[in-house]
Amino acid sequence: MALSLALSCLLAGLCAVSMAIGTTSLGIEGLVAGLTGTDERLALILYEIRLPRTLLAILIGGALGLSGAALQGLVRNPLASPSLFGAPASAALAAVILISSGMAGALSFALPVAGMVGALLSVVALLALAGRDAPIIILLLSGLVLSSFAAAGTSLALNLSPNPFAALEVAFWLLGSLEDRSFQHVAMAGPFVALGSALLFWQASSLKVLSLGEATATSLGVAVSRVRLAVVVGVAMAVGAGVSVAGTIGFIGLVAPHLVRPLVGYDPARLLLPATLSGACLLLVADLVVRLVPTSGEPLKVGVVTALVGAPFFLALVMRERRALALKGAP
Amino acid sequence: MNQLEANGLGVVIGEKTLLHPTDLVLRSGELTMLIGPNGAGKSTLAKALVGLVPAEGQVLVNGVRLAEKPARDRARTVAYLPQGQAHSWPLDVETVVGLGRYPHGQTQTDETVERVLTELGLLELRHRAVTTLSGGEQMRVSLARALAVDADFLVADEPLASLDPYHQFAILDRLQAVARAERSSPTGIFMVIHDLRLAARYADRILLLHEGRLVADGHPETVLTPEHVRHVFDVATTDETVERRGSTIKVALPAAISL
Repeated sequence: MALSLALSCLLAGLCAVSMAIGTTSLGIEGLVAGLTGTDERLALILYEIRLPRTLLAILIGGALGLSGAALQGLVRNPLASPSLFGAPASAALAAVILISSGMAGALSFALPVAGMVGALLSVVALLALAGRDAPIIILLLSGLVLSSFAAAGTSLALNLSPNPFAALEVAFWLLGSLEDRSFQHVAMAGPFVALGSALLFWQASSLKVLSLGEATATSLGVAVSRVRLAVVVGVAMAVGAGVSVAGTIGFIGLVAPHLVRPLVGYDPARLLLPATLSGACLLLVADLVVRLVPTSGEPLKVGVVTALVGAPFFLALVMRERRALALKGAP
Repeated sequence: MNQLEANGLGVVIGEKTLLHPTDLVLRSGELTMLIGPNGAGKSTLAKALVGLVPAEGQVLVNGVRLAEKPARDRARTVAYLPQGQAHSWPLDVETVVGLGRYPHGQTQTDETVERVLTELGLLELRHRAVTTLSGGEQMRVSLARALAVDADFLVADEPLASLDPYHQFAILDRLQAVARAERSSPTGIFMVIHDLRLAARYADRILLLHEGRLVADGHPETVLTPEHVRHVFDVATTDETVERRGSTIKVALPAAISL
């Protein structure tokens, strides 16, 4: 509980910084003037531009952190994450098909729905492909297969796009960004992220018992197949909705649970809330980096930042697993 | 007194029959041991009793079908300890044992958890991460977790594997005490075991499984006969005297590979 409180304070601090920093940087006076509405120009910036952007970072970062923690609990492996299993790529594919076919604009409720359906299909396909109790190597390879299919489909959609500018727009959208988002985006993704998250938090104690393996968990009264379905649907809703308003943002789901897991005694149930909060903090920080690093042309995309930080982190994790395996005497 | 009754319990996977239709009865207060060579179907029978493999026939507890009970109710009726319990995360010992309270609606350390930690000599290890323990210590933690369920019946698949002789005796003494209800309500214990001498010494009843069929069921003296042991285990036997609580019995035990 103390950990969640500390993370909440950190999150609140980051929110304030996120509200203050941008093309027009504000001090405390400016923030107060803007938030209270005494300065109309600042109020416009804060309420119409920075607040939705900050809220989306919290919403999507939190959803990614929570999804990662729940998936890692479900498959009982610290290398699990939504992106390694192809869910965001599939959500992106569904959204890109919708955008490039002209069936939906970038501001349509059809988009998060398509994103969720894409993510859901990919997670269902993953579990079907890998089978029950799959060893992690099979899960990872199946995830790779699904990601490859989704990437191929996305490339095809871009290739066949009737309008080169639309294709460019889609390509940039895919990189993942929280720029120029409005409250409409928050309203589109919010309910689905909230529902998916509730579904995941509901599985907390089952995930804890699952640490003993599926047979023992079943013998203790856990309905394992129902838990698996709930986690799959919850992750698909949260990640799918997030991807469809912000593009693909990788590695937060992998990194966030890791940062806090030792602090909760590796308990998969107590991990969920801190992982959510640290996911939100991570995405806020990444989005601040985007705003602070000067570029000559197109601004940095937040998905690029998380990937640049996340990939080395993943490397370190794999090296640690390798050392652990070497100690156990496995090949 | 509680009674668990298996009627025509059989397991067929694909074309292969792992367990032929089997009838057996477990009673509270009894320590029943299942013996048989590798591949006889011991683990399959244990899993089928708990409902962890698709099986034909039925398991009744006090006349009620186990499969029809709500999940947590079923869990409070029959506890299960798998062979080689896996631990996915380095949870501490106390937390792992606390998971045994899940069927009772919570997983906190309560009186029952404290009691089994004490009884299995795990108090000193309670804050250690379970993955850092030795194989034998992990086994004791797993058994503690299964006992923390405080179920009417306990089905344990080789709970003595990876234990040294001292702890084998200690655990069997403990299980005997649990069955006899020296602390709480009597429990029916069903365990898979490979050591025939320990089975002769501790079992109230021995079941002998051979190629998926129960070939003997009764007191150790009537099951561990030269004919049974030679035929089922394919070994030569010697007649030995085994000390039991308050009595001695004569049984046939394996001596060498039969020629």
